[in-house]
Amino acid sequence: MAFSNVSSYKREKIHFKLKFSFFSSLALPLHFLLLFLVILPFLFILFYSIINVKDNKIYLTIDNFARFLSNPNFFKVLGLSLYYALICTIFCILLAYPFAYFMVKCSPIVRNILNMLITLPMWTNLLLRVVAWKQLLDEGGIIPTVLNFFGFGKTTLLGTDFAVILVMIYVYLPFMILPIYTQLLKIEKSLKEASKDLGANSIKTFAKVTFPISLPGVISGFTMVFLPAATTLVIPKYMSDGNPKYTFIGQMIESYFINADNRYAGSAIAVILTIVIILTSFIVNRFDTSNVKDKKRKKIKTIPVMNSRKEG
Amino acid sequence: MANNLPLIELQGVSKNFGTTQVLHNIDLSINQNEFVCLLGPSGCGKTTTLRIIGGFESPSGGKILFDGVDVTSLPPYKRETNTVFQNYALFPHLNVYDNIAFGLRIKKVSYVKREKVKKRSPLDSFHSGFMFFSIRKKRKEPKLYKHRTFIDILDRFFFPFNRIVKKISKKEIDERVMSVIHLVNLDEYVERNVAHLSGGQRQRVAIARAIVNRPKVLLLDESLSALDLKLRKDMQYELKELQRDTGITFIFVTHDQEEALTMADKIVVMKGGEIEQIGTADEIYNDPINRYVANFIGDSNLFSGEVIDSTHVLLDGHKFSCDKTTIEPNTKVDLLLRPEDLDIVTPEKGKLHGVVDSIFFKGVFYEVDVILDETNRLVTIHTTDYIPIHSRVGISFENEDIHVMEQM
Amino acid sequence: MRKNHAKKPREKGWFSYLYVALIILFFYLPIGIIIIFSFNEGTSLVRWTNFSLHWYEELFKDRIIMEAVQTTVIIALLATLISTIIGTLGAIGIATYKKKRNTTMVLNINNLPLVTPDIVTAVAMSVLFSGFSMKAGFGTMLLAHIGFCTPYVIISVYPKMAQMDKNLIEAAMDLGATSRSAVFKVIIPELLPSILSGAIMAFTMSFDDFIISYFVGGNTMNISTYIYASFKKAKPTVNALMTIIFIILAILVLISTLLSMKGKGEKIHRRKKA
Repeated sequence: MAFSNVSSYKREKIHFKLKFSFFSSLALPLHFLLLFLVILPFLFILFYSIINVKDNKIYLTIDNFARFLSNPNFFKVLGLSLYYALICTIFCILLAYPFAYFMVKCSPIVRNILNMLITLPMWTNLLLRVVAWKQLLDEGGIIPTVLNFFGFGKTTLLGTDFAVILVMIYVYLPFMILPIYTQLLKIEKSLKEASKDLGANSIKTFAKVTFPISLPGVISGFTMVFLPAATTLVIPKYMSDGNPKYTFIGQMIESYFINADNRYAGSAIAVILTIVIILTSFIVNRFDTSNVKDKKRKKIKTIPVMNSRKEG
Repeated sequence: MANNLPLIELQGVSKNFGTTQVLHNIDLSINQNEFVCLLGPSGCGKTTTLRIIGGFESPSGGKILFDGVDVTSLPPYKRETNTVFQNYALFPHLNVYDNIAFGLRIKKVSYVKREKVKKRSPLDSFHSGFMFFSIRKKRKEPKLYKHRTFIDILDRFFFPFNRIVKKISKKEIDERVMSVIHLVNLDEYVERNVAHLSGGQRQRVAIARAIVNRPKVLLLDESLSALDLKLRKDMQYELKELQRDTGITFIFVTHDQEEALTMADKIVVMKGGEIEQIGTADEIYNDPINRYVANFIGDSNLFSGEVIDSTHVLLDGHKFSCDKTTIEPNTKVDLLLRPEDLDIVTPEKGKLHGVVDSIFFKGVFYEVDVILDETNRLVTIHTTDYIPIHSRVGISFENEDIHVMEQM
Repeated sequence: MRKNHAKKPREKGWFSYLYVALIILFFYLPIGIIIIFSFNEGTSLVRWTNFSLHWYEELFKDRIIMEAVQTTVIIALLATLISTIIGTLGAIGIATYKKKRNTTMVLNINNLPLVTPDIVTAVAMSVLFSGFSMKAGFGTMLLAHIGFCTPYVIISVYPKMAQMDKNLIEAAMDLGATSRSAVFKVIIPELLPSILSGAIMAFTMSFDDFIISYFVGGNTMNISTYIYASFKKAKPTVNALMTIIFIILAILVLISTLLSMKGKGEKIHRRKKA
């Protein structure tokens, strides 16, 4: 009797475990998906970047990398992409921070409406928005027409830094506003009060409390703007108006992949690009000071309380 | 004290949020070195009062004086108060040490050293003559904070260039921070992330962060309500001790009457944006001014009655003698009998009679509910004797146990 | 002096309202101009000639555009459906792992496509399909879309699932639910809002996608790749298309915002009552 009791208990336990493994098995399709559509593709570009095919034979080679790393033009293109992306990101931070700051100060209803107004253009097709800007900046578009009216002799603004950076900011600004806004929203009012209570005026409170706490938002906004801006294909293509000065890294990949059909060289650029991106995000994340680590003070100076009362 | 001016004075302070008036004409004066509790149910305006003193809200009317100087329009960072917030409001991006050092690093200047000022100030003779006794007395007391008096402020006002503004050195900041950390027993947690601390430890950090600046007044907003019972009791004693050691005036907001009775030198009972009564714990408990205060503090049996003459009152149709009252004869009054003042005796000896309805063991005493014969009124009595349920009993009390209060 | 103090925030408010208005204007001015001039008879974006629905007629007559729209919608719907199912089940699965390390590992792999630039993902997918010698077209495009949509569903659903009280599942089983019915009757209803927001995110990502479709789509075109292909000759029909898409999107976003605001309002109301 006792024996059967124990076994039934055990059986129940095993049964229960099985039930939980049923839950885990729900993730099987996900595993297949991640394996075939995430891990494998990345292994494939790694593989493709170090091979070449000649006469139906596969060769291991570092030519794909060597041809770019020895080419100053490649570095020029890479540097240019990063440079324009950086300028765009800085402008985005400068424009987005005050916006997010004011947004937080609004009432919840206004906040929701503003949130909606920001996400709406973000969700509209990128190509459509860029084409719209192209029409506005091109010959006969509204902006050159207005500028002409005031006596600036330009017929088209395409192919200028202004056009490229303006449209980049237009496309990526929401990606900067939203993370900063979310982070600012988390700051409790009492923290600012505490800072004022401890002797900091509004400016010092912003510098010592609000800004440091909102920094993670700025950093995640940085990565959300900088990375896509550096790798964009569409914006320079439409805004450059054929000016080869604005050949960015995205177009370079496209030209190898689609136009020249050299996927080995294209893969090599993608690998280099990934490495650059990883390095960038690593550097950027080092600026994140908000994560306070627990440390033990090496030497705790215990000062008798009375010592500090010299003045009293 | 050096002078008889109260440290803080609220004069006719009122506050509206939109159309609702939260504070009606509050008058309150707080002296140096006092532990004051603002006590009342939620929504009675006690936190608003504290926030007005701290400078986080500006009053809709009235004045706030610090040492006789109007500070009504001063922002919080120019006031000599520091606050311990209800949720502690510790800066999440700073560790324990940096949180505590925040105020010192912001100010970077230390207070005037009196000795040096004295030599230069033409007010000197007046100053020292006036202060002679108090300085002597002060040297004996261990204090973290050196008080500045009214004279000091006059001194600063008339002779601003005599002020010696000394930069606080890094070393001094370190010393002061470490000594406060030691004071609140956080030596082991100096470089911890504040998010990883327990509730009690966070509270200590919040207190340390405030007192390291040596404010004249420390404002505490329901600071113990987030802690569990045991810790809360411990912190009550520690706070009281801290207040005694540092000599800082504490203004403590709470809805917990027991907390107020334990800690406060002066209790301010508030209701609906008005002050009901100000007094020591003893006064508030023994001589509540009205039915509201009596009910709010301690257990109470309340009767409505009438004053017959200066030493007699009418309670439930019977005449009882009581302590001398100044209330006019024939006015309706509320009468208070504290449960612990009542004794259960045999029916013949009792002044009131009834049947025991229920009895609960409360540890130190039994709580006995008696239903009075004539009025069917429930009276609660605290006694150490066990009384069987349904037994007929008498209730006796001394004359001075009847507290006579004006009706509201 | 006190009056001054009280006035200060209002002055600040004036500037901030202007600033917010300017930024919003910056977002909507180009869209607004395009929408208005899509009803213009001529091709000019400056000179208004006459109101006409000419470009809309052209749009619906253009077979290639209509095909692109059809492809986009079908792919977006299918990709959303499949990735939502896989993502939701996956999120439930990985949240019940015994070892937290495994969960973190899966999540890290899941985040990979989210943090790498789209163009790298696009190249990777393209290389993969050519490696398996799959012909670029509708099938590869759909697979790629499922691949990059699922992570969005996971990041939307997993946090909710991780927060959910595990006792809830045990309570359901204690009350006689089988594992399957516990999933469908307890867990999924509980997760529904986050599943929905994940699905919406997946749909918009798929609907708006250009670069991945461009690299793996071959001759199959969605709206974005069609516009890109007709780079040289941007016709006002595109503006008509944008107007339609924008208005549909605006209505959807408005409804969801109103619903979420109403939901919040009710919650507050209920709490007040309690």
